[in-house]
Amino acid sequence: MIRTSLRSLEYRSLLHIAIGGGISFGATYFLLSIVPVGVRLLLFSLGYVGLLAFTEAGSAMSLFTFGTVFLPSGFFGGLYTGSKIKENLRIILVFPALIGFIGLIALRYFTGYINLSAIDPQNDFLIPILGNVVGSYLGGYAVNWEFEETARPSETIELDLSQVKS
Amino acid sequence: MLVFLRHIYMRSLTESNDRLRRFMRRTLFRMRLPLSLFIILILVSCAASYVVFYSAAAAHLRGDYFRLETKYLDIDFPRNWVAMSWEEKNSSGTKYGILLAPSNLRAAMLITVYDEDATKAYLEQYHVTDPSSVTVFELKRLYNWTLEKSGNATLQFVENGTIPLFGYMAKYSTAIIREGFVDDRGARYNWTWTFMSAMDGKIFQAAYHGVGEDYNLTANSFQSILNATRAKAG
Repeated sequence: MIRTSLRSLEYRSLLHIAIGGGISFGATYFLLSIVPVGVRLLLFSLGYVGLLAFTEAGSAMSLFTFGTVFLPSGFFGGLYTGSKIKENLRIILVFPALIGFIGLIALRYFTGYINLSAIDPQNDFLIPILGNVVGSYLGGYAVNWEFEETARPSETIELDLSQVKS
Repeated sequence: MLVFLRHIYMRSLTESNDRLRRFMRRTLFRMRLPLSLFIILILVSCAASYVVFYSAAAAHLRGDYFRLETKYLDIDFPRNWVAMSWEEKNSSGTKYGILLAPSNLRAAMLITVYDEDATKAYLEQYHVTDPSSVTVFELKRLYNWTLEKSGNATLQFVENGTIPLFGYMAKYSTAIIREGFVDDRGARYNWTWTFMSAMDGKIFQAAYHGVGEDYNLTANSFQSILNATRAKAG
């Protein structure tokens, strides 16, 4: 099934998937440069910046980053890909997320952010890929959802006077 | 029989497609279901991280101080200071480090504890035998490192003596590295360091430093943090 779906992909679809991956990666890079700094500034202004020394704060930060960085980045990538491609979404939507994730890992590796001898599997791999994939599917299906407006019943009741018996 | 099975299969396929189609029209809070789920996931992760932050603060806060509990030391530090703790494990043992720094001054304190194996390796590697020689060795190493950045820097010992540290008697030295600190604009400042070390099977090192006047502004705070720090058996 996967092979058939991939074979049916056109060059144009591949381009849209790549652009979706690029959007996902760009959004991740942008949000990652804002959100952690913002949390630190907030804690600093509250006078609780020392809280970041504790492992629980690290877990809270990972949770916050999942919800405000990786999930939205995947969502934006999926939103674009889903708006351009309408078929085989179940398979296709994983690719923008993977491109965004691989781009992030490559960037972190080449900028020295990831040290191969001390990899943190949860924060370096699991949370980014989970957020990107879930976000991509939600974005892709959000734009392709068969949304139906339920017809509202008329608020005024019309009375047919001819049927009123005296 | 085959026709019957095919009929059953096609019917189940149609039903599942219908179910999927019906499902794909579902809404939540008058929004498309995936969009609602996306917003809910963001809100849940933000709320959960707030709860974890809050519970961590409640668990470690002691008045205006946080208590950082490590394997060998319990340290109380001001809650608006930056703090970090880490472990360095290798074949020669484990080294535990803690960094504390006020967020508005160019000053910091570094505490290091070497476990028994790491202590043996340290003493053999650097040919030092007692706390006094450890203190002098570390200050000289620091000065040599400073020379790489500021070639004109000079080392001046100001004070030497004995001081209680984590329940042990430690040897300490205070030294000024004149023009030892170079900032981003290339301006040079005197850099004052107090270095102390104690040994009891393990090496305990504490060092605090400040650039220019920042040393005098923070030295008392660093010393009171060290006095309040308790050593554990580990």
